[in-house]
Amino acid sequence: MIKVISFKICPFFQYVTAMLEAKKISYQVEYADFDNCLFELSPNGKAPLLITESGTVLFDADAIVSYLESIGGNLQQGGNPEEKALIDAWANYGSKNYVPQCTTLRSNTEQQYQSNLAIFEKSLINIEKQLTNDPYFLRGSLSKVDIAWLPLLHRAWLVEQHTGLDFLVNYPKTKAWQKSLLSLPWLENTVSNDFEHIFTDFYLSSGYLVKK
Amino acid sequence: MIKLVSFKICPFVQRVTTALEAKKIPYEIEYIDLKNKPQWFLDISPNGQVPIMQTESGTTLFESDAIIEYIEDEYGPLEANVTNEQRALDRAWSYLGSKNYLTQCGTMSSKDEQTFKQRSEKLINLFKKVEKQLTGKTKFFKSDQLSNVDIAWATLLHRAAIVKQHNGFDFLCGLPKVQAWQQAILDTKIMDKTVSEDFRELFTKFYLTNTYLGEGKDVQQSVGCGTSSCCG
Repeated sequence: MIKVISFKICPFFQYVTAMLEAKKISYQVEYADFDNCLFELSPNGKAPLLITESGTVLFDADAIVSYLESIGGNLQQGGNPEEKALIDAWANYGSKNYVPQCTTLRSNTEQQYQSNLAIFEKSLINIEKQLTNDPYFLRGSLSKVDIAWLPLLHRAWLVEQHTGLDFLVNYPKTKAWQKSLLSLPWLENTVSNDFEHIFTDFYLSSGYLVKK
Repeated sequence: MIKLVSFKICPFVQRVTTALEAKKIPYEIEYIDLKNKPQWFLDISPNGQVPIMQTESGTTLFESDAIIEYIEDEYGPLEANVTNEQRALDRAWSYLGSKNYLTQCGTMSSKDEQTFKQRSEKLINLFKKVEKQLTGKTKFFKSDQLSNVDIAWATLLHRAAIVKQHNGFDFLCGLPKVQAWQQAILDTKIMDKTVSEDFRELFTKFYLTNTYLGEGKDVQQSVGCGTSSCCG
């Protein structure tokens, strides 16, 4: 069986598990600490890692997700190379914003918060322009773009639940998209049982967002 | 014909032009000024960043990783019969290169010794990882034929070569397999075609003038200029 190794808070891990859930591929998870030597197995030294059924160790979440996307059907992958390239681009654009969202949440001062938010918010401005009134990015069917943005939108929702701050308040289409992604039946399987606790502890126990 | 829009010093567009040159696919390229992006560019670029590529049917593609995949899907792969797993590994090794373009850019742009040492350590560790991975028995990363991994790393290796030619500083010092790989890529004669004619001059002005790497000493930090000016 496929095995995923990561630490719990990692958004790139959630990107991989969301793809596994969307594709209904069975997998096991091994959680490790940030500094676990397991990650030295990985050429980029980063979580997550995925061990395939034949025992190959894969690294880099974007590469892992593209691998999972290519095995089996049931996701919208684009009918021609141009459509596929646009799905890849909007998905990569999502995963490139995990770190900006993380640094925004971890800001200590208002000045840091505002400058980090300005970077993160660009992604919201750009995605809002692309969304329609359909539940998913590509009309009615789930694609890698939805999977890539799910960790961002899920985390934004947790922040709203705990602090009342809604990053999506000015972005109604993104807000509606968040709602459809949060109602995916397998959403809670993409993170550990204690994720909400770990998330609030890591992001919402100190720093500018809490003081605010 | 395919049209690329970028600015001259951008490493991400160089990865795309390397892929196009390696496959001998004709293209046009229009360079814009990073500090003064024209309105027509902002109108067609979904995220305001370079490079973008207009396909023959007029669709605008963005994100260099996605453009690279498009070239592969539309014009055929560099290597045939790659398994899904191997493709995942090739992508991961390629991304390890392309996700470090900004590491190299930031290192070269450092203004003082301390910043330079800190950033170059990350870059050199990256090259050490590849040194371990290379067998030393093939010309390129995987075999004697160019693969996607070579295309992604060619940008880093080409820029490292320019620095070495300019002032003797070698980011690949003590890494013989990476050095041989770099030489093999330079020997393909592709790299000069992947950049504009005035690239060396612009590169030298941007990275090797008024930087620690260029001057060999700490230099005055210019206002409002940091690693974020490298691309985007």
